[in-house]
Amino acid sequence: MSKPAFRSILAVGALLTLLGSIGYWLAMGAHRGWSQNRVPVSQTDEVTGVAFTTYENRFVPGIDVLGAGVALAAFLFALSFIFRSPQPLPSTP
Amino acid sequence: MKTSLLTCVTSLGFAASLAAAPISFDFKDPKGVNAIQFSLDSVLEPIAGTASGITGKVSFDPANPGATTGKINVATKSLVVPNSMMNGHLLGEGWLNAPANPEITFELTTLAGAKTAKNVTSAIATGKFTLKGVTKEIKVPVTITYLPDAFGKRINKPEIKGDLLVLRGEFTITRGDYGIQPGQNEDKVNTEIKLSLAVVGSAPKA
Repeated sequence: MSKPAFRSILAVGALLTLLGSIGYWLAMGAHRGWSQNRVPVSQTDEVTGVAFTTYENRFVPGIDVLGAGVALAAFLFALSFIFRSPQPLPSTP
Repeated sequence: MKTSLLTCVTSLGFAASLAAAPISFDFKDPKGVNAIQFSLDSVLEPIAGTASGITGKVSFDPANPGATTGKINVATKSLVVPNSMMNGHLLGEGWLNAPANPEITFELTTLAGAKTAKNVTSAIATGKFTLKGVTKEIKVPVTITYLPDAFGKRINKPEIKGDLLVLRGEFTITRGDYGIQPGQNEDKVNTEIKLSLAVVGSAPKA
Protein backbone atom coordinates (compact mmCIF):
# COMPACT_ATOMS: atom_id res chain seq x y z
CA MET A 1 0.00 0.00 0.00
CA SER A 2 1.36 3.41 -0.93
CA LYS A 3 2.06 6.05 1.67
CA PRO A 4 -0.61 8.48 0.36
CA ALA A 5 -3.22 5.71 0.47
CA PHE A 6 -2.26 4.75 4.03
CA ARG A 7 -2.34 8.39 5.01
CA SER A 8 -5.86 8.73 3.62
CA ILE A 9 -6.98 5.65 5.52
CA LEU A 10 -5.62 7.08 8.78
CA ALA A 11 -7.19 10.49 8.15
CA VAL A 12 -10.56 8.97 7.31
CA GLY A 13 -10.21 6.65 10.32
CA ALA A 14 -9.53 9.66 12.54
CA LEU A 15 -12.61 11.44 11.22
CA LEU A 16 -14.79 8.35 11.67
CA THR A 17 -13.45 7.83 15.20
CA LEU A 18 -14.17 11.44 16.07
CA LEU A 19 -17.69 11.41 14.63
CA GLY A 20 -18.38 7.93 16.01
CA SER A 21 -17.35 8.75 19.56
CA ILE A 22 -19.28 12.05 19.56
CA GLY A 23 -22.34 10.31 18.04
CA TYR A 24 -22.16 7.41 20.50
CA TRP A 25 -21.84 9.80 23.46
CA LEU A 26 -24.78 11.90 22.24
CA ALA A 27 -26.94 8.88 21.46
CA MET A 28 -26.32 7.39 24.91
CA GLY A 29 -27.54 10.49 26.69
CA ALA A 30 -24.64 12.97 26.52
CA HIS A 31 -23.78 12.36 30.18
CA ARG A 32 -21.39 15.12 31.22
CA GLY A 33 -20.01 13.28 34.24
CA TRP A 34 -17.89 10.13 34.50
CA SER A 35 -19.08 6.96 32.79
CA GLN A 36 -21.58 4.90 34.74
CA ASN A 37 -21.83 1.12 34.91
CA ARG A 38 -25.10 1.34 36.80
CA VAL A 39 -27.61 4.14 36.67
CA PRO A 40 -29.25 5.39 39.86
CA VAL A 41 -33.05 5.57 39.79
CA SER A 42 -34.88 7.42 42.57
CA GLN A 43 -38.04 5.88 43.99
CA THR A 44 -40.29 6.59 46.94
CA ASP A 45 -41.73 4.15 49.45
CA GLU A 46 -45.46 4.90 49.42
CA VAL A 47 -46.22 4.09 53.04
CA THR A 48 -43.30 5.88 54.69
CA GLY A 49 -42.50 8.53 52.09
CA VAL A 50 -38.84 7.52 52.24
CA ALA A 51 -36.95 8.18 49.02
CA PHE A 52 -34.55 5.44 48.03
CA THR A 53 -32.28 4.64 45.12
CA THR A 54 -32.16 1.54 42.99
CA TYR A 55 -29.67 0.88 40.20
CA GLU A 56 -30.20 -0.22 36.62
CA ASN A 57 -27.25 -2.22 35.31
CA ARG A 58 -26.47 -0.45 32.06
CA PHE A 59 -23.53 1.48 30.70
CA VAL A 60 -23.73 5.23 30.16
CA PRO A 61 -20.63 6.74 28.54
CA GLY A 62 -19.34 9.88 30.16
CA ILE A 63 -16.86 12.58 29.37
CA ASP A 64 -14.01 10.08 29.80
CA VAL A 65 -15.26 7.94 26.90
CA LEU A 66 -15.78 11.02 24.74
CA GLY A 67 -12.29 12.26 25.65
CA ALA A 68 -10.73 8.90 24.83
CA GLY A 69 -12.46 8.91 21.43
CA VAL A 70 -11.31 12.43 20.64
CA ALA A 71 -7.77 11.58 21.78
CA LEU A 72 -7.70 8.46 19.60
CA ALA A 73 -8.95 10.47 16.63
CA ALA A 74 -6.25 13.10 17.24
CA PHE A 75 -3.61 10.35 17.48
CA LEU A 76 -4.70 8.76 14.19
CA PHE A 77 -4.76 12.14 12.50
CA ALA A 78 -1.27 12.98 13.80
CA LEU A 79 -0.04 9.55 12.69
CA SER A 80 -1.29 10.24 9.20
CA PHE A 81 1.32 12.99 8.84
CA ILE A 82 4.09 10.39 9.08
CA PHE A 83 2.88 8.92 5.82
CA ARG A 84 2.92 12.15 3.87
CA SER A 85 4.03 12.02 0.23
CA PRO A 86 7.57 13.29 -0.19
CA GLN A 87 7.47 16.97 -1.06
CA PRO A 88 9.08 17.87 -4.39
CA LEU A 89 12.34 19.69 -4.01
CA PRO A 90 12.08 23.40 -4.78
CA SER A 91 13.35 24.09 -8.22
CA THR A 92 16.45 26.23 -8.40
CA PRO A 93 16.57 29.04 -10.92
CA MET B 1 -62.18 -8.05 98.94
CA LYS B 2 -58.86 -6.46 99.84
CA THR B 3 -56.98 -9.16 97.94
CA SER B 4 -59.05 -8.82 94.78
CA LEU B 5 -58.68 -5.02 94.83
CA LEU B 6 -54.93 -5.37 95.20
CA THR B 7 -54.83 -7.88 92.35
CA CYS B 8 -56.87 -5.52 90.18
CA VAL B 9 -54.61 -2.54 90.91
CA THR B 10 -51.50 -4.65 90.30
CA SER B 11 -52.89 -5.94 87.01
CA LEU B 12 -53.79 -2.43 85.86
CA GLY B 13 -50.32 -1.20 86.80
CA PHE B 14 -48.71 -4.08 84.93
CA ALA B 15 -50.87 -3.40 81.87
CA ALA B 16 -50.02 0.29 82.00
CA SER B 17 -46.34 -0.49 82.25
CA LEU B 18 -46.63 -2.78 79.24
CA ALA B 19 -48.46 -0.12 77.24
CA ALA B 20 -45.78 2.44 78.00
CA ALA B 21 -42.91 0.07 77.27
CA PRO B 22 -40.47 1.13 74.59
CA ILE B 23 -40.83 -0.66 71.26
CA SER B 24 -37.80 -2.27 69.66
CA PHE B 25 -37.56 -1.52 65.94
CA ASP B 26 -35.43 -3.67 63.67
CA PHE B 27 -33.75 -1.76 60.85
CA LYS B 28 -33.02 -4.79 58.69
CA ASP B 29 -35.62 -3.81 56.14
CA PRO B 30 -37.90 -6.61 54.88
CA LYS B 31 -38.38 -4.61 51.68
CA GLY B 32 -34.64 -4.17 51.28
CA VAL B 33 -34.80 -0.49 50.39
CA ASN B 34 -33.18 1.04 53.48
CA ALA B 35 -30.12 3.02 52.50
CA ILE B 36 -27.91 5.89 53.49
CA GLN B 37 -26.96 8.32 50.75
CA PHE B 38 -23.56 9.97 50.62
CA SER B 39 -22.06 12.63 48.43
CA LEU B 40 -18.79 14.46 48.15
CA ASP B 41 -17.78 17.09 45.65
CA SER B 42 -15.19 16.10 43.12
CA VAL B 43 -13.69 17.12 39.81
CA LEU B 44 -16.32 17.12 37.06
CA GLU B 45 -19.24 16.00 39.24
CA PRO B 46 -20.04 15.02 42.85
CA ILE B 47 -19.34 11.43 43.80
CA ALA B 48 -22.71 10.26 45.06
CA GLY B 49 -23.80 6.83 46.12
CA THR B 50 -25.73 4.73 48.57
CA ALA B 51 -25.07 2.22 51.30
CA SER B 52 -27.81 -0.34 51.57
CA GLY B 53 -26.51 -2.88 54.07
CA ILE B 54 -28.39 -1.42 57.03
CA THR B 55 -28.99 -3.34 60.23
CA GLY B 56 -29.50 -2.35 63.85
CA LYS B 57 -32.12 -1.81 66.48
CA VAL B 58 -33.68 1.29 67.96
CA SER B 59 -35.76 1.36 71.11
CA PHE B 60 -38.49 4.00 70.86
CA ASP B 61 -41.19 4.85 73.36
CA PRO B 62 -44.05 6.81 71.73
CA ALA B 63 -44.90 8.21 75.17
CA ASN B 64 -41.32 9.34 75.75
CA PRO B 65 -39.46 9.89 72.45
CA GLY B 66 -36.60 11.62 74.26
CA ALA B 67 -35.60 8.28 75.77
CA THR B 68 -34.85 6.75 72.37
CA THR B 69 -31.70 4.65 72.20
CA GLY B 70 -30.21 2.37 69.60
CA LYS B 71 -27.55 1.58 67.08
CA ILE B 72 -27.52 1.59 63.30
CA ASN B 73 -24.91 -0.44 61.41
CA VAL B 74 -23.96 -0.11 57.76
CA ALA B 75 -22.01 -2.83 55.96
CA THR B 76 -19.05 -1.02 54.37
CA LYS B 77 -19.02 -3.36 51.37
CA SER B 78 -22.59 -2.29 50.55
CA LEU B 79 -21.43 1.20 49.49
CA VAL B 80 -22.21 1.68 45.81
CA VAL B 81 -21.41 4.48 43.36
CA PRO B 82 -22.46 4.42 39.68
CA ASN B 83 -18.92 3.99 38.35
CA SER B 84 -17.46 0.56 39.10
CA MET B 85 -13.84 1.75 38.97
CA MET B 86 -14.60 4.45 41.55
CA ASN B 87 -16.42 1.81 43.61
CA GLY B 88 -13.26 -0.27 43.67
CA HIS B 89 -11.19 2.72 44.83
CA LEU B 90 -13.78 3.66 47.46
CA LEU B 91 -13.78 0.20 49.08
CA GLY B 92 -10.07 -0.32 48.57
CA GLU B 93 -7.18 0.06 50.95
CA GLY B 94 -6.55 3.71 50.07
CA TRP B 95 -10.03 4.83 51.05
CA LEU B 96 -12.37 2.82 53.30
CA ASN B 97 -10.46 -0.49 53.30
CA ALA B 98 -13.73 -2.42 53.55
CA PRO B 99 -12.22 -5.84 54.38
CA ALA B 100 -10.47 -4.40 57.44
CA ASN B 101 -13.36 -2.10 58.40
CA PRO B 102 -16.50 -4.08 57.65
CA GLU B 103 -18.95 -1.81 59.48
CA ILE B 104 -19.83 1.85 59.81
CA THR B 105 -21.90 2.48 62.93
CA PHE B 106 -23.84 5.16 64.72
CA GLU B 107 -24.71 4.51 68.33
CA LEU B 108 -27.28 6.90 69.76
CA THR B 109 -26.41 7.99 73.27
CA THR B 110 -28.79 10.90 73.89
CA LEU B 111 -31.66 12.60 72.16
CA ALA B 112 -31.83 16.25 73.20
CA GLY B 113 -34.54 18.84 72.72
CA ALA B 114 -37.14 16.36 71.55
CA LYS B 115 -40.26 18.10 70.27
CA THR B 116 -43.18 16.01 69.12
CA ALA B 117 -45.96 17.17 66.86
CA LYS B 118 -48.51 14.48 66.01
CA ASN B 119 -46.36 11.45 65.25
CA VAL B 120 -43.15 13.30 64.30
CA THR B 121 -40.40 14.01 66.79
CA SER B 122 -37.58 16.43 66.01
CA ALA B 123 -34.45 16.35 68.12
CA ILE B 124 -30.68 16.54 68.17
CA ALA B 125 -29.19 13.08 68.35
CA THR B 126 -25.81 12.76 69.97
CA GLY B 127 -23.96 9.55 69.36
CA LYS B 128 -20.77 7.73 68.59
CA PHE B 129 -20.04 7.55 64.88
CA THR B 130 -17.48 4.97 63.80
CA LEU B 131 -15.96 5.02 60.36
CA LYS B 132 -12.80 3.23 59.24
CA GLY B 133 -12.09 2.25 62.83
CA VAL B 134 -12.22 5.83 64.13
CA THR B 135 -14.96 6.73 66.62
CA LYS B 136 -16.05 10.31 67.20
CA GLU B 137 -18.99 11.86 68.99
CA ILE B 138 -21.24 13.76 66.62
CA LYS B 139 -24.53 15.62 66.81
CA VAL B 140 -27.15 15.04 64.14
CA PRO B 141 -30.47 16.84 63.75
CA VAL B 142 -33.01 14.06 63.26
CA THR B 143 -36.70 13.55 62.78
CA ILE B 144 -38.36 10.39 63.99
CA THR B 145 -41.71 9.47 62.52
CA TYR B 146 -43.73 6.85 64.36
CA LEU B 147 -46.26 5.04 62.17
CA PRO B 148 -48.42 2.75 64.31
CA ASP B 149 -50.01 -0.24 62.55
CA ALA B 150 -48.28 0.54 59.23
CA PHE B 151 -46.00 -2.51 59.08
CA GLY B 152 -48.44 -4.86 57.32
CA LYS B 153 -49.50 -2.24 54.79
CA ARG B 154 -45.87 -1.61 53.83
CA ILE B 155 -45.17 -5.25 53.04
CA ASN B 156 -48.58 -5.73 51.37
CA LYS B 157 -49.77 -8.03 54.16
CA PRO B 158 -52.27 -5.89 56.09
CA GLU B 159 -53.20 -8.87 58.25
CA ILE B 160 -49.79 -8.64 59.93
CA LYS B 161 -49.86 -6.10 62.72
CA GLY B 162 -46.92 -3.95 63.68
CA ASP B 163 -45.45 -0.46 63.75
CA LEU B 164 -42.88 1.40 61.72
CA LEU B 165 -40.32 3.99 62.73
CA VAL B 166 -38.72 6.28 60.16
CA LEU B 167 -35.44 7.96 61.02
CA ARG B 168 -34.32 10.91 58.95
CA GLY B 169 -31.22 13.03 59.35
CA GLU B 170 -28.46 14.79 57.48
CA PHE B 171 -24.95 15.50 58.60
CA THR B 172 -21.50 16.24 57.27
CA ILE B 173 -18.19 14.72 58.28
CA THR B 174 -14.63 15.50 57.30
CA ARG B 175 -12.99 12.46 55.73
CA GLY B 176 -9.56 13.28 57.13
CA ASP B 177 -10.96 13.04 60.68
CA TYR B 178 -11.64 9.37 60.02
CA GLY B 179 -8.31 8.55 58.41
CA ILE B 180 -9.66 8.65 54.86
CA GLN B 181 -6.82 10.11 52.82
CA PRO B 182 -6.14 12.90 55.32
CA GLY B 183 -4.56 15.87 53.55
CA GLN B 184 -4.47 14.00 50.25
CA ASN B 185 -6.23 14.61 46.93
CA GLU B 186 -8.05 17.60 48.41
CA ASP B 187 -7.88 19.38 45.05
CA LYS B 188 -9.68 16.45 43.41
CA VAL B 189 -12.06 15.18 46.07
CA ASN B 190 -13.60 17.44 48.69
CA THR B 191 -12.76 16.80 52.31
CA GLU B 192 -16.41 16.97 53.37
CA ILE B 193 -18.75 14.02 52.97
CA LYS B 194 -22.49 14.71 53.19
CA LEU B 195 -24.53 11.87 54.60
CA SER B 196 -28.27 11.63 54.36
CA LEU B 197 -30.17 9.07 56.38
CA ALA B 198 -33.76 7.97 55.75
CA VAL B 199 -34.32 4.49 57.07
CA VAL B 200 -37.31 2.50 58.23
CA GLY B 201 -37.43 0.23 61.25
CA SER B 202 -40.08 -2.43 61.77
CA ALA B 203 -41.69 -3.81 64.89
CA PRO B 204 -44.05 -6.59 63.85
CA LYS B 205 -46.43 -7.78 66.53
CA ALA B 206 -46.63 -11.51 67.04
